[in-house]
Amino acid sequence: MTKPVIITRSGLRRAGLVLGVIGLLLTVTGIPWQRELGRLGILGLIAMLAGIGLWAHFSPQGLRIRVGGRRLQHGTGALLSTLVLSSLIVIIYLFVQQAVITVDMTQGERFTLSDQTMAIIRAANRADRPIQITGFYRPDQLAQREIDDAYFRLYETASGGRIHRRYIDTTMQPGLASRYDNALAAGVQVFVAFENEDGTVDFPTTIPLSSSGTQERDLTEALARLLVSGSFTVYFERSLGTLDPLDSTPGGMSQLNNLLRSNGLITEPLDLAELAESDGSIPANASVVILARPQEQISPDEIAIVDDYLGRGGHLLILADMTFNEDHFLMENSAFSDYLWNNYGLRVLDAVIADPAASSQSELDVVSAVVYTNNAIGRNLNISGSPNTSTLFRIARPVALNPDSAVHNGSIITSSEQSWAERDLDAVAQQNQFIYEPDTDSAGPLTSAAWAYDERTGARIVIIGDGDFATNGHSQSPQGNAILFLDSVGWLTGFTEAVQFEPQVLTSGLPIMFIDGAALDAIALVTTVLMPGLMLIVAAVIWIWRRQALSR
Amino acid sequence: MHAAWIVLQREINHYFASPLAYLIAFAFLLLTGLIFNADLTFAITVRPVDPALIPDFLSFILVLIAPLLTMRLLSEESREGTLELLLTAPIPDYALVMGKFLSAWLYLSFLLAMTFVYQIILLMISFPDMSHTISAYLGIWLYGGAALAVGLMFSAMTSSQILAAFLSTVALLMLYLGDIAGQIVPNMQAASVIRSLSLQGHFSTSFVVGLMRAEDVVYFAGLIVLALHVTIKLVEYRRWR
Repeated sequence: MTKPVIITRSGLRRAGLVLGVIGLLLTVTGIPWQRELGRLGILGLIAMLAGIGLWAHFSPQGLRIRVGGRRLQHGTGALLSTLVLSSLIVIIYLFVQQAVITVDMTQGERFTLSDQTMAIIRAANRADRPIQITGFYRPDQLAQREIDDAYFRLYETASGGRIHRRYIDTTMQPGLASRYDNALAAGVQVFVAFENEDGTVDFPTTIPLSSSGTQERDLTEALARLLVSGSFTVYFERSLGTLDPLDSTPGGMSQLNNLLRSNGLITEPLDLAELAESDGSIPANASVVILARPQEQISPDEIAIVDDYLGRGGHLLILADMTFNEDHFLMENSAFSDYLWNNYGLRVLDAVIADPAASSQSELDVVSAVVYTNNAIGRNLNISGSPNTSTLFRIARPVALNPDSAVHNGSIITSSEQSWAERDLDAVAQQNQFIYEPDTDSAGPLTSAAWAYDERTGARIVIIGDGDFATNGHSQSPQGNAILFLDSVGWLTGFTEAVQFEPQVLTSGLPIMFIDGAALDAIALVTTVLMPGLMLIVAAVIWIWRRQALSR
Repeated sequence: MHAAWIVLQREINHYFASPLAYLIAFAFLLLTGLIFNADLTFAITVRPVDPALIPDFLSFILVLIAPLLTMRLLSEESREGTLELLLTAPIPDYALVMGKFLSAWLYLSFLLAMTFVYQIILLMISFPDMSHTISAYLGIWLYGGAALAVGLMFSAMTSSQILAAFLSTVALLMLYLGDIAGQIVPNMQAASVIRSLSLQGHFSTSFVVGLMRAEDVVYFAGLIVLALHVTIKLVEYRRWR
């Protein structure tokens, strides 16, 4: 037997109230959810009005009390005063937020821009266009955005808005993020770029922020790169069978070329043979000329062009591989070899380095055993605890240095003391044999990368006894190969000095503590037993005292 | 203000004459002591100590402790009928609310002051960044004030202490979780607004990292003022209902 359903006035009144509350909830959640008065909001409003109507119809007395009595008078007053106070607080909050009033309480002044950064900001203010910091963050990266924003805001304030920030939600605005896809996939989230007149980003000027965990250094370096972008032009020689900077195959050199471009350097091809034929010269805007693993000898006319360029304070990067052909580049007795020896005290030898102590799969795959960190090129290599920052040369030629040269020169990388320069190239090429012969082979350590600097002209040269390390197949394995190339270009062009900055503080800068186990035990006893225990005893005493007082 | 001072004295005496206050202090010191020692053990010879460790940890603990400190302040008076008596006394409503709020805040300040022992220990064995620590403590003090004001508001809403504690815990948890709004709300703009309304949003990326921002101080002060205003209105409601 089913129980009859009885509909009463009070039941309808309650139903009206429930409907009204559900309607209110739908309205207050639906409007922000859909960001407009959409279907959900309208449905909520209708339900709310219907609910109120139902309740008012079946509870006329309740309605009279609420709309005509003291409740309305006082309730409205309370509501209005709360709304006015809330609005006042929001206005003050927004006003103060705009004013950006902050106090940096850290001992190392982590939230205070350094003098170097301020100099860059002044330079940015002198630029003809504003700069935009574009950050890509997903909603789940909101906290990270807030931390980064604390820094970016400092730049915006210090530049008077000339440098300003914009955040893009990659999930809601995938179209805007699509142009940055490759960098975003590589983990880069923030970019700086000049703005066009219409306020859009001038995309070709975009510089990605490397992430070292120190926001000030990352952003200041990126700004410096942006400001010097276009100031440095790198020429890749293309007529001597050199590596192709546009070739994206493992044997090409497109990766390093792209890295140079992403750092704001302009890269261009250069044809020495054509220049020699037309009696031309290397362009005056050449910040550096790269001879990337040439496979042919360089002619006397071409040497004259290089000499003219170096005489004007030019910069040359030579990647001299052992190609095992009869007429290979930089043969020991060649004219160019003699030119470099006589003028810069550098000579690439007709030998390959074998190193039993610092090598990879074969003794001919030599790892950077010793790196000279007293120059800008070596300081980012062989970093302690980061094995990926060593270099790896597959069949490398040693470079001899003349200590009596008229110019400054020195080593960047050398092999270990157990290494030697294998002179029997036929045995290496045809039978893969390399045995140390004291009569013919030279004992290590041997220089595999060297530099020279002519103070009089300003000419700079870096010679590396390997070329494969710069190809797409090897430039990132290990990463030290790419670092060596980029830092070589950085030193030769002067780019490194222009954009590298020390941040205010790299880490907290506070010393690590050293205490013994007994002291640690004593601290644990005081803080986890004595202090809480004292509170427990006091609680127990009060409880007993109160019980006794009650029983009396 | 004299009336508020009298209420404050009465409440403070009540706190320190009650075993519950010392039991809360026991739990508070035990938890912070364990966290302090755990971090100390990890930090030795590896990294400098975290200057904001205790305040950062307390930002969550306060979600649980603030309702315990405020749940009885007005709901108990209401349940026992003493609130009506108080309302007939020559004490303005604001003085009653202010006195009760300040007593709770003072007790919380006492709890925070007890954790200075950890900083004194650190000063003896290391070189902590004390100004950073002061920033974090100032932040958690304001954060605690806001949490207590919210708790007091719920205590004025109901005569049930348990319900008051439950409601204020839920409310504070919502305000605490605003920091991870982005992980729940898929819209950055909405998540950003929710975060800017949350307690953590004005603490974890500013005071905790050693950066004091005026807007965060305004947020906490504003939340305290607003919650106390609503509490006063709720107490007034008893006069004219």
